Amino acid sequence: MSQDKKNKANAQVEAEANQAARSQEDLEAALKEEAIQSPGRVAWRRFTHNTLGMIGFCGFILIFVIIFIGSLFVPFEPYFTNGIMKNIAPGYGYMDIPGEMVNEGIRDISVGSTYSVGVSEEGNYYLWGFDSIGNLTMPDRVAEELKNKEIAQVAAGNRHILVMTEDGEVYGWGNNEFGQAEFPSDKKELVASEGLAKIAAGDDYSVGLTKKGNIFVWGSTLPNRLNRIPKDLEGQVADMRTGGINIMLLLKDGSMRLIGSKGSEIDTNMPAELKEPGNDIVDFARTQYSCVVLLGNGELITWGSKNEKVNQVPEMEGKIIDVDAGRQHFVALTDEGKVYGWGLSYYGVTEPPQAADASRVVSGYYNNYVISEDGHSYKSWGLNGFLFGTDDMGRDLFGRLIHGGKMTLIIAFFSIIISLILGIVIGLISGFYGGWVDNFLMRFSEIVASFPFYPLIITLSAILPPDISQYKRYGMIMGLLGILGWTGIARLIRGQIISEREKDYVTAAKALGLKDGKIMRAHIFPNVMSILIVNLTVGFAANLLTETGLSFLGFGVVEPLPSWGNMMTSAQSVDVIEVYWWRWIFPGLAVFLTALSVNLMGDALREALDPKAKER
Amino acid sequence: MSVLKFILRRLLNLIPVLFIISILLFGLSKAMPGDPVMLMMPQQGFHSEEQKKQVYEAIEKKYGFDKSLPEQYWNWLQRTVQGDFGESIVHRRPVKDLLGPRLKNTLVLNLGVTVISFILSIFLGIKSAVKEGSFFDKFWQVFSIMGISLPTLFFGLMLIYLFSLTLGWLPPGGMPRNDTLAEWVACLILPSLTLLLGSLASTYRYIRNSMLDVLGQDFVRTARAKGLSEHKVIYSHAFRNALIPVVTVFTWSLTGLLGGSAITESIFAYDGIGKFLISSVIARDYNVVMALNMLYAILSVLGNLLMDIGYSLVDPRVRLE
Repeated sequence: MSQDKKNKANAQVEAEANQAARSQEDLEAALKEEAIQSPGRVAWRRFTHNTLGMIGFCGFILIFVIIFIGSLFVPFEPYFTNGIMKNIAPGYGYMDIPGEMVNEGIRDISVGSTYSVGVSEEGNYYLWGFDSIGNLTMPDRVAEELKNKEIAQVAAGNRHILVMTEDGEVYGWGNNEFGQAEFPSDKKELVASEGLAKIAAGDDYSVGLTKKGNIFVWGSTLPNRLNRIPKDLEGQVADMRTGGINIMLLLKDGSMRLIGSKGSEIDTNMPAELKEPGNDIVDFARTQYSCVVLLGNGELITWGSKNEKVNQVPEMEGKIIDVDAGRQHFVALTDEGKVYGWGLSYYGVTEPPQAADASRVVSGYYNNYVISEDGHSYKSWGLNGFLFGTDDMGRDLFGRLIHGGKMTLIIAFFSIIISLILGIVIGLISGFYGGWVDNFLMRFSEIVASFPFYPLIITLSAILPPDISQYKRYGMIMGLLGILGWTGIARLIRGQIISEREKDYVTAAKALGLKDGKIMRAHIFPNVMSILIVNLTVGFAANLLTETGLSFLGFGVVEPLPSWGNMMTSAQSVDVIEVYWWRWIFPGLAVFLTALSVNLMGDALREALDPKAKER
Repeated sequence: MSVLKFILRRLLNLIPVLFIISILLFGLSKAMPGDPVMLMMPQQGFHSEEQKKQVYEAIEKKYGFDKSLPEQYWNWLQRTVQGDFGESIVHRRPVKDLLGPRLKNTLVLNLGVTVISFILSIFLGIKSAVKEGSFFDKFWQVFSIMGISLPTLFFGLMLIYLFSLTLGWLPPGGMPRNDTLAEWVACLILPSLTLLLGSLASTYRYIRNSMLDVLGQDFVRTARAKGLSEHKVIYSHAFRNALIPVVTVFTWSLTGLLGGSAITESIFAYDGIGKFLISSVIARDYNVVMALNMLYAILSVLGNLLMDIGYSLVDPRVRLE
């Protein structure tokens, strides 16, 4: 009983204490709220409490970081173009071999431009990577026919796939513009009598090699004359390596021969001894313009294009046991299990990973695999995909977005700074002195402001000399945007000055004998800071859009340097809008999101800095 | 009376302004890279250098390029004042004939957009300001901030992608071939929508903000305290005062009528003067560029005059003097 009472009493005391504490808190809170805070802190608090504003703020910081920090890490070469990789839709995983195939064991891989095909040890066919056009999946009729047949070999071209069965039948699909995916019916007889040993696929052509050493080519053969196989090669061919427009052959007598388009370095720089019979050639590989040959004693012979750096073979540990080549690079594997790469280093193709018990390397285009002895594990390196696709010159849009964005943001920023400085100076002068100066300046600003903006800046940008350097051009565009954009700011500043000019503190400052410049700087200027901050953000967004429009029309930043505007220039054709949507949607979205985040921030700042806005 | 006097005086004032602009424009055209005489010359078919030089000089003389700059300017000004803008180098026709139909096309496109945008934004702006913080207000605020952030060209491309290429409802661009009303409408819908978004978004913001400013002032409170109906407070007291900045935007959009649609016109292959200016600048067709800019200049100073008159109409405190 007494215990109960005690508890009650305790509870009451506690409650009272709580209440007291609470009222104390309330009081403190009230006092705090009543306490005078500096305008800066009030504005900051208002700004941070504005959800939309904070979203804009964070968004802008994010974009800023991605672009400026990202541009340090994303390598960029404005003049780089790559025809084979043009107009590829966004996609990833070019080199992710399906797990099932790895489980079954990798027997053979052939690398295409953005995909690879392979056969497992159990004879199953696999396709992985990115199907940019959507015609690389094996057609049902082929799948039906292959059901009870063993697949011996696969071959991947730029965008077509060939499959050879154990009994020498060839099926093809994918791009068939030149008939490269369709086995020629007039060769069926030849294959029936001689048997098919090997198939291979070039960019737009396909090759077959019979067991008796005859080759035949189908597909795009007219421009490179690959349809005419020299008579003396009859029954002589041992092996072949395909490329864009010609084929490197190894003959049975141990000599080498190039057929197809001639005249490039792979043809003209070929060592004389390789043209003679009797070489002990184990393996060979070729890029577009270069070739390497691996001799039986482990020696490597290289020739071809200096641009492709074919001769810069790295120092290697051990004896080379396997070589292969991609578009413009070579890879080699030594008997100590080390993998090396050299040649042009785009997409990181020359930086191979090291793998334990590596036994084979497979390369093609920009994709590379190193496969283990048992075929149950692999490592890949090189081009794994384009996050935002590529444009009509095969340039990676992600890199261009980052570096173009940098340019766009820098131009927008400096042009608004120029506008602000002009606007401040003219507004201050106009507002402070009044009279005819004011009249003249304001009339002038009205005319500039009412002159249609785009026509004026288009006309003005036409007088930029066409042959000046890109960076001067940037400067001039900034200047133009800045010079045309000051009027609004000048007006605002002037209005503010006029209302401040008559205030007592200015009169007092004048009476104290302060100079005009000092009064403007020390007394009036701080009062217009808030206007300036708001204008900085809003003007930045506006200039961003203007630069985009201007570059879009071809009057701003010009190719090959990117900007968000000129990346969309190609969208003036219906084809690009419809088929290659990624080429305009991504830059467009980038501009939109940046402008939106800056505008949201600007609105929040306006509300936060506006002394007339309601406090609570 | 005083209004007429004012207008007359301002018109007289405009003459020196236009004069200065014309000198600037002339200087601009002379600063453009490229030799106009070379552009007018036939590209081949000369038997000798001598003959080429003769032809060059003949053209130079014919168009007065051999004279001194002030003389050239004076001749150009005289011709321009008489309404003769010279001949287009590209089209080999008088600029005047080329401008006419394109001017009409641009006006057709922009007039509707401006009117709709103004009516809509006045309605939406007032309602937003009166119901500040409501869902209606927030919705249109978000709409307008999206609208001013969306690049015209991106919006235009999205419309083409959606309505022309995916749904196939409207042509992706171009001009009506048979001049029928249905065709005109089909060709105008997408470019109009594109222009409308930007224009509506910015005008709406302007009107809402200036209305909010006015609604917070004492005389509005007084009017309410007097017991006036809310309708009357808003439309006859507040809105008239909010009109002053609106007049500014209105005159700007009037001058923008002819100049603001360059990007839209080129996206939609709409044959207006914006697109004409772009192609002429690229082809260095000086006479066309000069004529168009002179047109814009006249328009913009007239716009300013209109603005002053507009101020005096909406705000009796502003006297025309």
